[in-house]
Amino acid sequence: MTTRRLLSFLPLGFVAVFLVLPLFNSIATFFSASTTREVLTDSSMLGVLWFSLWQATVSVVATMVFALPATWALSRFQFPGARLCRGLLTAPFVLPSIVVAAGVLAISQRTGVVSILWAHVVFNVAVVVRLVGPRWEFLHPKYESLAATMGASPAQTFVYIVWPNIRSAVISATALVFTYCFTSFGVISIVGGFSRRTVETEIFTQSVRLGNTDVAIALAIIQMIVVLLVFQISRPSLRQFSSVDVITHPMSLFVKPRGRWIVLASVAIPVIIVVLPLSATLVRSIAYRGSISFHAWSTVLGGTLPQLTVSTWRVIATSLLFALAAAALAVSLALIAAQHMNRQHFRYANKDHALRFVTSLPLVVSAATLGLGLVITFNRDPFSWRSHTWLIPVIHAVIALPVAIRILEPAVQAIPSSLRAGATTLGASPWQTWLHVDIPLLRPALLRSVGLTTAISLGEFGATSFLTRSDSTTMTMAISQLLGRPGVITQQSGYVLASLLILLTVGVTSRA
Amino acid sequence: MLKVANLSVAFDGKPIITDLSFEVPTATTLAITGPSGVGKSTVLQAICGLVRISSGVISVDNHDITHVPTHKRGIGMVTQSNDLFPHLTVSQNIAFGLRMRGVSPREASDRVEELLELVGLPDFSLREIQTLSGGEARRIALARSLAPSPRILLLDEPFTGLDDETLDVLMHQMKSILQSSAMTSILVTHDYFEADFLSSSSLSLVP
Repeated sequence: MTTRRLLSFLPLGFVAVFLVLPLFNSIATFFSASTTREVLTDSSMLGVLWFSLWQATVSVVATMVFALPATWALSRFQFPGARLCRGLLTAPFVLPSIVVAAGVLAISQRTGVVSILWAHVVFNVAVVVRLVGPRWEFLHPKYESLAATMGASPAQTFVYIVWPNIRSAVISATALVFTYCFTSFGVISIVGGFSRRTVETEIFTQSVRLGNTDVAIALAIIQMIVVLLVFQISRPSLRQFSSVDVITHPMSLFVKPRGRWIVLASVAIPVIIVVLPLSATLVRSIAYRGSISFHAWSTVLGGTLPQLTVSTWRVIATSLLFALAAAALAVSLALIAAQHMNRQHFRYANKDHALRFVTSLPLVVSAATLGLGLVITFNRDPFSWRSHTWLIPVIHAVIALPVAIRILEPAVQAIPSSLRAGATTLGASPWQTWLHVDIPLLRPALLRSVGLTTAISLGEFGATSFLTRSDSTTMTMAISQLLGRPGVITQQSGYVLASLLILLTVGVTSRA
Repeated sequence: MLKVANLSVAFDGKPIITDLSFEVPTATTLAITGPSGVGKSTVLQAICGLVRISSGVISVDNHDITHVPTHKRGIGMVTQSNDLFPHLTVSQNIAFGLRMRGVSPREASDRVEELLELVGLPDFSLREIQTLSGGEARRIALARSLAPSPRILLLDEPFTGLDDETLDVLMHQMKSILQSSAMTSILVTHDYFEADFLSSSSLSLVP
């Protein structure tokens, strides 16, 4: 077996040990058919399931209502500030869900369904703009003009020309947004309040607070089945890429004066909805009931987090250390996986899907389910790792791995094989070719994946909730604890820390 | 001398080249001609080890190189798409093969200057690849493949896509370089005029 083939087992083994094993072990240990039956017949649990499905569905609809017009306007028209608007709408994609939730709470001042939906919209508009936008841009406007010359109305043009080209991207975005909302943990924890429980938060409550691990496992299985069903139903058609041959340039908005306000409103309204909570986080950290005070900032920057036993700098250092370790691990494994998949692409032509399948699993398994599996599995010798600090960045790397692979794989594929062949004919060994040709050409993708995986780790909350201890408190955990406790300064300190987390996240992803 | 004996190549079980044999004496150029899809480029890729051969023996100066890894064969190649490394400058591209052999930067720099002079682009060392015209890029690719002083040079349709004027200049330049360096080379082309002008013998592949 070659070294390359052996290396390909690293990402496979990593996901197998830290995701597949905990998942199967926890199911094998605690699965009970009778408990699952009870969960499916218990009115309280059915209420939780119903609310999870309901809020996820409404969140998808609300997201699409604001995101699709914005995507259309940004993909089709050029106007001053368009780039800034696109940046503002897509920024929350990398922001921690708990920060977005804190921002919504800062404005609405109350927990409940509206706050949940708002937070989900803020978070997921970015998903739609990022997934559907490029496809819409690829569709050359000449096709729409041609349809019009053949008598098609704007609505008919959309149905027969635009929709077939963006359909698969919209379906993929819908599935992703639904999954994010259905398995949302940070948002529900912060703005859901006591009465709003979803399957994801209930897994945490049942296992950690009530000790009903069998109920938590039953819920986790039900949740996974729903997510798998959604992915199965939404599997995009492969014949959707008919007119992606031309990259088009958006036309100037000012050539179409009558529709100008519609275009601007399509972008402005979502921008306000997205930006308001984020700016509110900063405002709330200095303002309370009409008065301005920097007391919370001076307290937090002085090193104290009210009512917590850890210092500000310890929490920030812990988060940064975990994020850097997780990014290094996830990106290294993703690079190995991406290069192996690329090699398979040419040599084995889709005969071996194992690596792709296994490394996609973290997308299907929710953070709470993963956290629960880890706590159950790594609780006994010789694998009593649950209290080990290193497990947290390792799990962050598991969660970030699919994202890193999805950034690196196209970049690896984009390197023409003739460049590698050229290097070899000039005397470069395979290792030299990798070092002097592949790595320099992959540099932008590597930077991007490091930035995004760092951001994912900085914002991770669900799985960390199961594993964290006072000596490994991360920024998201500290924000959650501060916002969940009484006291003006305590809560304002939560917003200060959330503002710092926004700055950190924007900092690490700005060059990505 | 390059000797190819009973070479066969197949992709996914489909034979591309079957039982091909020929020789290229030292310091001569063999032209391989034939219609598109007949396997001309595949012959070159097989000689430098970029495709796996089904059977046959490839030898240089009576040394069997059939199973020698590409990077140790000492066979250079110029392709019709140039394949210059986009992340490196002109001089870094030319020096690439020397760098792989551990040649000192000063020595490499001298060789780069010498080759740039040879291909008629003396002031191009700091130029970015993206700023080169088609003809300039082709000359830099030629200089790059000559830099490590390969034993054999393979030219895969090196004049495709050039305008008439550039083509004329480059063909004369190529002939002069091949003759002055006493290089053993193979030229793959579908243009019989190019084949006649540059080669001392030719081989025509038929479907």
